[in-house]
Amino acid sequence: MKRFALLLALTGALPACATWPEEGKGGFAERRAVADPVLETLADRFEHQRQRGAERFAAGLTDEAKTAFVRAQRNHSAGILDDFAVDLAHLQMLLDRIERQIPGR
Amino acid sequence: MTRLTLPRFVFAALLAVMALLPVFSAPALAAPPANLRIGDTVALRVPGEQALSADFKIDRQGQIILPEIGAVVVAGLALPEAEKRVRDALARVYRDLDRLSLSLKDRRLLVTVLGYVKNPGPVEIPGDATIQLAITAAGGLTQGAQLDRFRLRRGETETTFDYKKYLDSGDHALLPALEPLDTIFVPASPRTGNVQIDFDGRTLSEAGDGGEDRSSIKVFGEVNKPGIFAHKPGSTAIDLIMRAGGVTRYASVEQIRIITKGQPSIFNLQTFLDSGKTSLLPELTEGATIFVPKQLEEIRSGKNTVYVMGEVAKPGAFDSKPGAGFIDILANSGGPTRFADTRQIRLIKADGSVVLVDLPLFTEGKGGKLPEVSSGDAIFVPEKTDTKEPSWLKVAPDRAVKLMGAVTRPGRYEWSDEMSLLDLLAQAGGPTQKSDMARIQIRASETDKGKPVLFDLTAYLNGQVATLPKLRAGAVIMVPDLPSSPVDMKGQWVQQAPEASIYIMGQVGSPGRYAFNTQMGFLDIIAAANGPTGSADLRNVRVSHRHGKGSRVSRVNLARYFETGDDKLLPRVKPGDVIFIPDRNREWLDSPKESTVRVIGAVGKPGRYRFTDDMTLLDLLAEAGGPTDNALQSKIVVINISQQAEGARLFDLVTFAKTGNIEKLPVVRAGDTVYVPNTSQSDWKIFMDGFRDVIPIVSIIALIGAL
Repeated sequence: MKRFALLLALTGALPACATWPEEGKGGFAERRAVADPVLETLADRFEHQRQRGAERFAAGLTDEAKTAFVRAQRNHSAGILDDFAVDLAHLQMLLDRIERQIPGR
Repeated sequence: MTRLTLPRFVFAALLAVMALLPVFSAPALAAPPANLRIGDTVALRVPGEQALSADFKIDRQGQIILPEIGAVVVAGLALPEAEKRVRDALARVYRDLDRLSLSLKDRRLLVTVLGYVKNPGPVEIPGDATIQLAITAAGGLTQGAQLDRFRLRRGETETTFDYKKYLDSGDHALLPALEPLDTIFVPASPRTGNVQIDFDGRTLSEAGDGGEDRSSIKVFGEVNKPGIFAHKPGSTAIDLIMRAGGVTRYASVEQIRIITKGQPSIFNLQTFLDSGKTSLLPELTEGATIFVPKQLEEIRSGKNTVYVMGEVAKPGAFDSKPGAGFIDILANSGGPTRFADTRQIRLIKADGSVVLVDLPLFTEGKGGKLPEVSSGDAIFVPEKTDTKEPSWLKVAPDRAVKLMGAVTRPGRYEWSDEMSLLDLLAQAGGPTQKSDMARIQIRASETDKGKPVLFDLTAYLNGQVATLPKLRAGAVIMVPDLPSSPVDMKGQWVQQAPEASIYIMGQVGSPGRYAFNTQMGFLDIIAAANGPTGSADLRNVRVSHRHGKGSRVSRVNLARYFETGDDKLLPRVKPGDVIFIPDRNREWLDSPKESTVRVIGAVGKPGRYRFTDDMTLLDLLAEAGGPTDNALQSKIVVINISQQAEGARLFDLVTFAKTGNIEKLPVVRAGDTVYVPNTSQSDWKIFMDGFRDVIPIVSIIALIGAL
């Protein structure tokens, strides 16, 4: 009986051999509020630029910045912070370029 | 009949008074005729004889016709003698003739006027009348009468007199006194010829008023009215030339030839007019000859001669004086005509050297000093070149530029350094509508081996280029054509230089090689190629820039341009660049792994899929055909490729479908991999497989233990 119990324990341990990664997240993070303060600052700046006519004077860059914000939010939510840092730098560059194209700064 | 007698002293006193009368009165009236003449009218008075008391005219036979008596010759008799003869004649029939008297009642002249008068024949004129009255009585002169050769015939003698002199001076002494039975003959001018025609006296007189005698002066040659003119003492060559109507425009006034006294001489009218010296006028004698030669017939040369040829009003040889300048000589020749090319006047020196004179430049004060003209030099004023004229070879090669290609009038044009390319194009009628003004090619000369200079006229006109290219005579300019339409591209591409073309390939309506210049843009060439096709991947248009150092490829998101309208998204393309628009359906083959997501495992269409940040994992699974029936949907794995480390995340599609919790949706970026396992990778399946493997072992162990 003791041996049979041991055999059952070994058999029960078999599923533990197939390990799965942890669950992912952040794939639709743009639907949520911005959580990072730096990103929030950039978002505020971008919103200000849009009010000053960024979509008229730098339509292409504005569209690209929108996409970049989505990507940054997703990376931040997914915890991929290395890429998030790159996204922030890219966003900063885009907003600077937009700023240069908006007249009457 | 009683005879009246007067005392002798009274008669003597009367005679004395009569002798003095001519001193105080007109000669014709005061001097009683010594003898009766033909044409006189005498008054015969016989008291008591009415038939005899009458006036009788002495006829051409010198007689009067008395009644019952007949003719009695009284002409040539003094009045008393005539009275005695009449008395004697009447005494044969009548008695008591003591009171007979005969007196002169009227005196008339019976003359004959013949020749060039209107009514030739016998005329009766007053006794003191002159020849002029006789001519008037004959009706006057007719046209063609030779005025200086009138003749008066009296008996057997004939006298010639100059009636013209009388007309000129009014001096009666110049005319012979008339006597009865004189005949005046008015001759015809030798110019009237031998055939009777009605002629115009004016034209006749224009041929000269001189007779054919040796005293007349002949004037001929380049005068307006050549003729033979009567010599007048004191007349000069000027007078005669004036009478001949002056010289014509062709007259060589410096070479007038005069023969006088049998000696020829040259009369320079020009010099006389210039100096006014009367000593230069040759003396003209009777019978002199004046010939005014034609200017063109003479070949002038001399130590002071300069020549002006070509497009001047009066080309020819001119006598130059010391101090006469270029302008003086040109002005003497009448100046350049409107056909003259005054910019190309040439002074050909006597030693053979040639000096180019730009007269307009001189008149503008920029030409410096005009060359000095010496004797023997020649000034040549060329004709202005007419570009429409086929004889364009008149323009020397070192003064011409060649303009070819798409201009209204291509050809060879005369060039001056003051001109610009725009002047040249304007003279050629300008570029045609099909000309490619952005690529005008210029070579310095036909032998120029280097690359032609390219000039963008459109950019110049738009103010993008500040200066025009420098042109010089001998240059060759080519204005190329633009293709007539994109459809013609296949036929015309061989004519296009590669550097004037752009290439477009892939998913466009008409891929190929297109003429292109810097004035065109990216959209122009896309439109010329009939635009993208339905399967074109507008997000991944690529432009290969072939100019500059190294290679460079731009990616163009044309879809974003169409969404935003931002021109800044469009790349700047240049001739020689290559535009490629890929096919959306084959994108995964052409796309790098960094821009795609690999979807593998239990999906309908595993493969590489383009992924953008506006997509999610759900979009990707849908594009890949979704999980298959044996997919382990609760264990979908996303492998994120990160900057520093890679990580995997799990996605439970089954739970997501039940809850809709987007928090559990893992992030996917371009470059990631999505793996959808099948059910064989599920925990239960693994367990069951393991269990199935363990059961036989356990059975064997149990069997061994039982034994």
